[in-house]
Amino acid sequence: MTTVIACETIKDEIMYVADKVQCKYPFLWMSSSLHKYPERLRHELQKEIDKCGKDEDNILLLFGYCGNAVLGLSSRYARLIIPKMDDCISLLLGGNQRRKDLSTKGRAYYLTKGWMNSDSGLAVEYNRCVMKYGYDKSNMVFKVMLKGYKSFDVIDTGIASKETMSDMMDAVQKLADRFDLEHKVIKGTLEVLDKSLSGQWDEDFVVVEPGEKVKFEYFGFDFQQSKMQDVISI
Amino acid sequence: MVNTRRMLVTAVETLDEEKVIRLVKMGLNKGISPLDLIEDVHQGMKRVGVLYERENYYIADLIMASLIFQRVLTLIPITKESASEQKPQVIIGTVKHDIHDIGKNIIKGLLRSRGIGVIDLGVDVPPDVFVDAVQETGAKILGLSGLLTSSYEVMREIIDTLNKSNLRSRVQVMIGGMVNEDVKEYVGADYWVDDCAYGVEVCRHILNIDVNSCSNTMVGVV
Repeated sequence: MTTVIACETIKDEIMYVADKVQCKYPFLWMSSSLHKYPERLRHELQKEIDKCGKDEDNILLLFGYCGNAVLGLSSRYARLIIPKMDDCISLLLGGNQRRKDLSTKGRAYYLTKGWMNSDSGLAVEYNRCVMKYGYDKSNMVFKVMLKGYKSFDVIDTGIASKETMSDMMDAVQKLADRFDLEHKVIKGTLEVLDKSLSGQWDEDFVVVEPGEKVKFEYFGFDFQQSKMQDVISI
Repeated sequence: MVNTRRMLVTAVETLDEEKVIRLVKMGLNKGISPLDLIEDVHQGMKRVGVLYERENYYIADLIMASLIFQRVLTLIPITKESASEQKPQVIIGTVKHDIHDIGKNIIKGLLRSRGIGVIDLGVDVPPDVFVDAVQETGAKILGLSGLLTSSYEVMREIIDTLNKSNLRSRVQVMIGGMVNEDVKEYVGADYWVDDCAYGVEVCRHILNIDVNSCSNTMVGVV
């Protein structure tokens, strides 16, 4: 038996793929807001893993490395399967390498529908900031937050309707104009999610045997040849 | 005086920028030590951190706190003169391919306010610039900052280069940002910090003792 513990931020994409590949795994969702607190996310993940019983063969964690949040996790009875990705941005871009290739064009602040709509979404955070501090101070705060970025890149995985994408791009354009950044759509992919939910856990995945802990080196960090310039969205 | 200081901590905690500035100026006029005032601001910032952990505050609030802190530093005499007059003991910078610098800027301000000379190399700093700075200044501490997973490899490259240049034994390397004990081991650093105040403690600790006898496990981890 396989159980999926997944991040709510990419719920739409996961459910789309689950439906497509007729995945019957049970899903357990972790709140997007936990990303702001990687230690807390790790703690919550371990709690959920510990709830899984002896009849569990695999626990699929649909997260990336996510700021050390998966480090040290272990299951007594099941294998832990984790995409070998830095975070969900890499996951939706099709891997760390694709992300590196894209990043040669300049620093991008990546946005997805899930992030935009979450409590930590940029527009949500900006509006909250304006309510609290007014426009002038909020603009100062966001200039600090966005310092060094060249553009807002919206990842289109093809699951959002034209209308939804159009609404998103309107919102992104407003932010881009306000902070003098470029904005564009870049093509995403659901390939890693597809493999995840089809049980094709190949070299793009970390597989940790029962009783073993997730270790830092399993994620194969090797950026020496890269021209990596992008930065994850927060 | 006690009242002013207590009000200052609360004003920072509630992110009331104008009140903070007013109270700092008032404190300086009353003869309160600049270091005490910075300590109060720092106490207020710690409370901001707690409120963030409790999900009462958001990332924008953390940035606002750092902006308030930066503004306070411009009012403190010792900080203003520090860059040119203090002997550089710490080299700090955000490593290549990363541009996150809020924590770096705060720790720089805290160190300077305590009379510790800091050279800030900025953000997206290539490895050779760090290594050259260690060689040229003889600073005892190298602070490498990074929030991205990709920063780990760059940190490792910098420390490898220090080794190859026979400079490693001359400097204690402290990494900060999204780091932990595993990252510290991987990159080959001496200390890791994810809290600015703790970073200052580590630096003071290193500078008060002989560098060569400094044990990696001497200082606990936040």
